[in-house]
Amino acid sequence: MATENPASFLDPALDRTSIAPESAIDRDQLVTWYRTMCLARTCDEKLGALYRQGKIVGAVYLAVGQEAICTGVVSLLQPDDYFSTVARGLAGWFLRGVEPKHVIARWLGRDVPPSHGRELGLFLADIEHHGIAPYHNGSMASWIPSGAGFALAFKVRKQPRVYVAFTGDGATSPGDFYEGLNFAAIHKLPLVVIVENNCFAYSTGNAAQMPVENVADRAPAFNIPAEVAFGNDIFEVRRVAKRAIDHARAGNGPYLVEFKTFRTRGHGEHDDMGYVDAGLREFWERRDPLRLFREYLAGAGGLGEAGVKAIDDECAASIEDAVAWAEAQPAPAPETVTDRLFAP
Amino acid sequence: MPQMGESIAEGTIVKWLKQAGEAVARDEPLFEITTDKVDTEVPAPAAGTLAEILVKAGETVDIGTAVATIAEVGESAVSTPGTPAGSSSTEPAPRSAGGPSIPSTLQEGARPAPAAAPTPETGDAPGGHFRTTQPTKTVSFKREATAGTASAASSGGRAFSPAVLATARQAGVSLDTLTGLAGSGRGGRVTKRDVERHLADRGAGAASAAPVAASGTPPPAYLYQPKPGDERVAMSTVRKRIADHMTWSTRISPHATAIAECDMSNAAALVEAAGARFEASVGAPLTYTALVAQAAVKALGEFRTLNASVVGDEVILKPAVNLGVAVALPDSGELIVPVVREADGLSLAGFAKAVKDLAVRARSRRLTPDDVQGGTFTLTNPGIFGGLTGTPILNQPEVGILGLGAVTKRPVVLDDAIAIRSIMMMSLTFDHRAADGMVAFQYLARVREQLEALPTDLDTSKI
Amino acid sequence: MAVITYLDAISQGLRDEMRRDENVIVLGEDIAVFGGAFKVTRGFLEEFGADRVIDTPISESGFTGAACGAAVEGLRPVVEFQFADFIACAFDQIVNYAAKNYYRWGIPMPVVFRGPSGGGFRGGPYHSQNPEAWFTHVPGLKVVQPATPYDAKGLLVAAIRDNNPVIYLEHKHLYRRIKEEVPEDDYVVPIGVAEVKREGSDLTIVTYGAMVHESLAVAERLSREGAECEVVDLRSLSPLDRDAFLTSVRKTGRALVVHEAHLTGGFGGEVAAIIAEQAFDALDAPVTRVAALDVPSPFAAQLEDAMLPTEEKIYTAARDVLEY
Repeated sequence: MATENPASFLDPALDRTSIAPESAIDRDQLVTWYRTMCLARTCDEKLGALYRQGKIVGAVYLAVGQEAICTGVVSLLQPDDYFSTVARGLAGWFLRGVEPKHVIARWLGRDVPPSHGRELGLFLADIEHHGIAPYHNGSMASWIPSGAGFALAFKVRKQPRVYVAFTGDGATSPGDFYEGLNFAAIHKLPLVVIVENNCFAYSTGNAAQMPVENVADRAPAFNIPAEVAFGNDIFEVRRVAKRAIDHARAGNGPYLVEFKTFRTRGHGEHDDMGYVDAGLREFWERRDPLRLFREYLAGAGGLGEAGVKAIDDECAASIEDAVAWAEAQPAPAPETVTDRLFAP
Repeated sequence: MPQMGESIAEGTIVKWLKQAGEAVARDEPLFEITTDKVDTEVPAPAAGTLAEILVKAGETVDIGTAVATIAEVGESAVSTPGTPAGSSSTEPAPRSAGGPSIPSTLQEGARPAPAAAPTPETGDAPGGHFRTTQPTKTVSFKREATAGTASAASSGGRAFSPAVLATARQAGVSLDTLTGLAGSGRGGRVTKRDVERHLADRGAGAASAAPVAASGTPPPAYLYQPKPGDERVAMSTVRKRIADHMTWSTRISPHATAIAECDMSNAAALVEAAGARFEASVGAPLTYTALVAQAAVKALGEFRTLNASVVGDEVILKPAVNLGVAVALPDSGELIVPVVREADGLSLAGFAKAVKDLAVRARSRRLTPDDVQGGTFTLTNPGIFGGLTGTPILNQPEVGILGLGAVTKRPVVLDDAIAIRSIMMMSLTFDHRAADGMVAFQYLARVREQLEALPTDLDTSKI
Repeated sequence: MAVITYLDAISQGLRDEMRRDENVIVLGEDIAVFGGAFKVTRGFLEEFGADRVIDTPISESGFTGAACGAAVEGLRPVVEFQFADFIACAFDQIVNYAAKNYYRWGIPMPVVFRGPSGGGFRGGPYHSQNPEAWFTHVPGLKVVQPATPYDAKGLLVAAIRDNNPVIYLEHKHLYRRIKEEVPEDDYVVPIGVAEVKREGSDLTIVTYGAMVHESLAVAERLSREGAECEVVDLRSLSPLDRDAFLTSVRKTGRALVVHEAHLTGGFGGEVAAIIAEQAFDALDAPVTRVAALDVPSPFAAQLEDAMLPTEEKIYTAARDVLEY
């Protein structure tokens, strides 16, 4: 039983059950971030339902519990910066303009761009519209090297742009993690690695994955700065990630940030999380990022309960519309299966 | 794909006359095909609905290939009970005796017949009850049972490569012959080269069954290299067949052409005087072609070596004259040679009718395969294009072809006086293996005598 | 036109493209300061600078992934694997990332992977392999294998200009052994087009890479003995010019497939299958393969020679097919 002692996983100094920004933030921005996180949560819950209805086949992977990290990090990016994440960073996609209806349609295997039924909704690459760079998914480490490549192109062209790779604790074990960071560190490339440490690599806990307490402890091997922070506080995420992005953009090389968080659903919806004990779940339930943000907004944030609920309702309605739209999209035609293998 | 002639290996669908889903009556024209012998319509072998077209227009497939499926009328009975049944026969529609023969049996050694597969358990009289257990029928024409044609991969303990079998099949070499060949491969294996050598040795005799593409690449110096600005026109199927045939014919036979002049004044007078009456009475025009055909056929009775074929060391004399009459198709300019069967038994009226019938059907593309097979001697008429004369190429495996020039009025010396006469040049190309110049000129003289002795009028009430 | 070696032709093609297009960069182990293990990039660092001629750590997956990412962003990286054997370390990035990217997203990835491959000079198990079949099995990759200096330059230029990942396998044994007149001008040998290197009527030898030369030697020998072989150099394995060898086999009726890679699962099996499927009626003898034995490349000369296809083995097999 690979359960974790919450205390050993999360340094009590980082822990918090209420959040607030260090300085005042424009209310429109706060609403945008909250709406993004809420939309991702609502969308995920709907995807779980569609999976159970048999409308999504295969597997579906949700991001519930990790919404603050990608929202916070992506909120700091410039329009021409790139990032890559699987659907664990769903809110990050949404913040960059990806529409829920397209995500749902992809999960349903519909003929929508850019994959036209060739990929799961779990993955998305769309540089042209959203600055989401293509990656492959052998493991989530496999895009650290390619991320270094994007960063290399920025550097060769002397462009002040950064590439942010979102990855997980489990992905710090494969060789690509080291090879990519090693290469980026040698060449001082503008690569920011965001590790969302959600306690488990599928079912295997941190202790069985790595001999160090924190992923960030691996950073000295590359002689790069690294930090550990609490990932369910969007304000903390932004504070730390800003340091990382600024560092990389200034030409000082890669930066690694490890955010402690928790995945409150299974690895996929086919996983009932029997390997997680009740105490750990309860611990993180109180620290749910959406809940923390909502409590701040309804209280000190000044939106009030009604103001927050209005956003919740708006998200729910918008996801219903998105599902209806997605289900109405055509399936890809079988005869297109051999199309687009090679670029002209 | 029906086999339109014994040496035909493939056919091309020109057009589907019904679309998938349309009802077809038994024997209703279903599709048009073109082969190297003939263009024709193929009628539906059974009544029902054209369920699926398997071979699209423009595609060329081997004979025996299923080209479509027809759902039996009964198939729709599930939703429309009580519909009278159509025929449930899986056999192709029978043809009239003169039509192409499409036997239902497979040739020896070919893949087994599909056990008459979903056959109704009980006798299925036309109009009788039908079965829904047999939802679709495959339109399947089978090869003629020419026993022993090479088609099996082995015989008598000898194995043959695909290339050997394909070459043999194309050339009509039997399995027995293959088995008897001395092979140059390992352990006496017969190679493709061996078959080709055999075909070459067999010589002209092989031509009767050899629409083999002219093989062997000519020396590069003989080949034109297309240059920018040239217009490249792909040969049609028929053009290619003609090209092949002409190439082979000149390779197989030593050609020689004998030319003679013929006074057609009597013939002209006859046509002038009796033409209208003749046509009214017979239903076909009185033409020079009919007159010459009659004379040419009659003369062949005397010079039988011109109504023959050469096979190896033998000249095979034919018991009857099947006269091919070359017809140019006006739309395509292509050439087709329908055959007047047993022409030696025909009267002048018979010739006139036969010539008219074949010409009309050729030009409307309604010839049957038998119409273009089995000729023993050919008549061709370059004169209709104003030609003085020509040197025709033999229509293999025949050994004689008579070309007629234009009939023109010319001053000739007649009884030491200059007279205006209607003159025609005749050119007889003959296979110099079968006959010599003496026979050729004697033959031409015999034709000429007949034509110059024609009466200048006819009692058309007696024809 | 100068007569240059196969190696110089590769170097020349690479240098020309780097001069022509500043997006072309090269990266690999020991390629900058040292000029490459085989000196293909000698002088490149001085001419193009460290931003475009990059020495990498011994980290094939890392620099391969980096090249892929940079390619998406519009650079045209040419990755040198010091030995094609080491490409195995980068296999995941090539087959799972590069190969599938365009199919998944419609985003082009113009990257070239150069692999010095092949044996015959006592390199042992890790410096002698011919890994083309690992990659021809993967949709989305182009795979080329030049046999001559002219093709080496023309195919490399074509590969660099191609908007897809291209595996470019150059045979080490040809580097300084084969010379040819090569135009100094810009030209391209199109990917996916085979070439008949010698015409003949009796037997088709389908081959590529180093074995083109062995096959031509066999053809010459057989010609003196009265049989004419047609030698079809595939040049590109993916996409494959099927018509080139099918046309030839339909003419000769006999096919011998020759490559230096291992027999089982080798690319020759694919060629043989295509011939069987599409030229069956033309065959007058069994399609036959000559390839390396199914063992790792051994070190000792006696063993390696026993393992590799040689002119003698090709000759014997060719006679066998001709006499069948």
